[in-house]
Amino acid sequence: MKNTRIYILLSFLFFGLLSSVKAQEGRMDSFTVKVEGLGCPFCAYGLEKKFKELKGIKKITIEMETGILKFNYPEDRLLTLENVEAQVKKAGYTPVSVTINRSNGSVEKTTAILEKNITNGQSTTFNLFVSGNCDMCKARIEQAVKNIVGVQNAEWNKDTKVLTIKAHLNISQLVIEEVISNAGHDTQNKKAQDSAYVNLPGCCQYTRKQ
Amino acid sequence: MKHLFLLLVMCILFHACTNKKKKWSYLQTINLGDITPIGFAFQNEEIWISDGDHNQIIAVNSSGEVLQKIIDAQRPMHIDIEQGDLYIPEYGSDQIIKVTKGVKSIVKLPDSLDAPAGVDRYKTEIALADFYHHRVLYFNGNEWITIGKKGNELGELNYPTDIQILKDKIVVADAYNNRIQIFDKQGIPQQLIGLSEGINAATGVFATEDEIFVTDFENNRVLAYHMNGELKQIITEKINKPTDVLLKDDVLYISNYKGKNIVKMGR
Repeated sequence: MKNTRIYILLSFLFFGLLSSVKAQEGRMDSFTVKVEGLGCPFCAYGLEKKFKELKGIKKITIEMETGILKFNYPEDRLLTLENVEAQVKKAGYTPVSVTINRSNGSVEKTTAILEKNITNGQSTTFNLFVSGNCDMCKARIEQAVKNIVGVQNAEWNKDTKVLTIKAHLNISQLVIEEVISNAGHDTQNKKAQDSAYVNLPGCCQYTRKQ
Repeated sequence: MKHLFLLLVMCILFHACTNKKKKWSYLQTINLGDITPIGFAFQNEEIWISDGDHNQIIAVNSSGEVLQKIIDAQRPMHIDIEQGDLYIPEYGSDQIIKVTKGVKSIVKLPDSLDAPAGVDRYKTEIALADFYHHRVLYFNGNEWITIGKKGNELGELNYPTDIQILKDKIVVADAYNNRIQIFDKQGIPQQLIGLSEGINAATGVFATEDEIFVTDFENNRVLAYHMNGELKQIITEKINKPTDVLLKDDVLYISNYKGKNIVKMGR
């Protein structure tokens, strides 16, 4: 009878430990990523493929209309906001925001660029010719420029290829052109490095002027 | 003199009529509800459509009424139907799925794919557009050959998305080279089409022995060419992010990804 009790107790302990380990293994963080420029299905599905490369990823979905990518990822792999942004950029896309709901209840978020880029003082508006093709290009060009401290707004027209920038008077056009060309897009005065151009997704590889 | 004048007038009228007949104009829209069409193919009067966003294949009638569904397709792209068999290039799983009388099987291939975007079956031949590998895989009935590599020169490809086999040619939608490229069945490049039209993403193609149609995705156009490369018409009416085009019984069908419909054009 005493042995039976010990067996039962040991069984409870064993199964308790096992279920605890399984619960630990199964704990997932939830990710929500807002991506700009999901216009072309061929590239958008490529973004999904890029994320499927992450071992252990589950329940990945892309809402094309809203540009929202969602997935779950094991908490013990500690995928960070920066990792996620890097993976989006690797696929040629421009992340707008990333939110992580950790399995322990904590929430992590990136800050919207224009929120952290509020500036005071006199501003000016000017236009710049920037090469590009599609909605993905638009997102990349605008985001690159909005990242510059002192820029209040940037809007690129896909048809005319004209980028309209509202920025603090101190911001030099040369700096803006440098940033855009580093993102792979030729401007009226600055040609992008070939390596940056080649790294653009296929749909973004605009015809270059010699 | 009077007879000569009449003859001249009749010639002009005849010429005008025949020219008019050759121009495509809008006939009808088949609304697809939430379906976002990428590619489509006909099985008798049913239109089979790959709905990439929702990972499914849908069969509809000419009113857009859903007749059948195949779910769990992983990002299906430019499909084909030949002798009752449905071929689905799955961009998400890197496989070509064959569906025969409702039963799925995987097509055996000589090499792994990376995001197959188009498939075409012609008699015993099959051709695949292998998107991220920038190449075409073609089985001529006896052996597989590889056509193209990444680049923008003649014979090179930049993200091919659709493909069609003709009697003695293979026609490729060379999507981000913004052109159509034609190869012979040994894989030797023969012709480039669409270089002067400013195409921005040549996503879908359909060819007969003497005509070629290409969807110009970003510019919301479909371009119609003679097989010799001469541009016949630019179609823009009711076109909204077109992904595929198909000619059947002298009606041109165009799938609009953003418009969530298929439009019919007549001439």
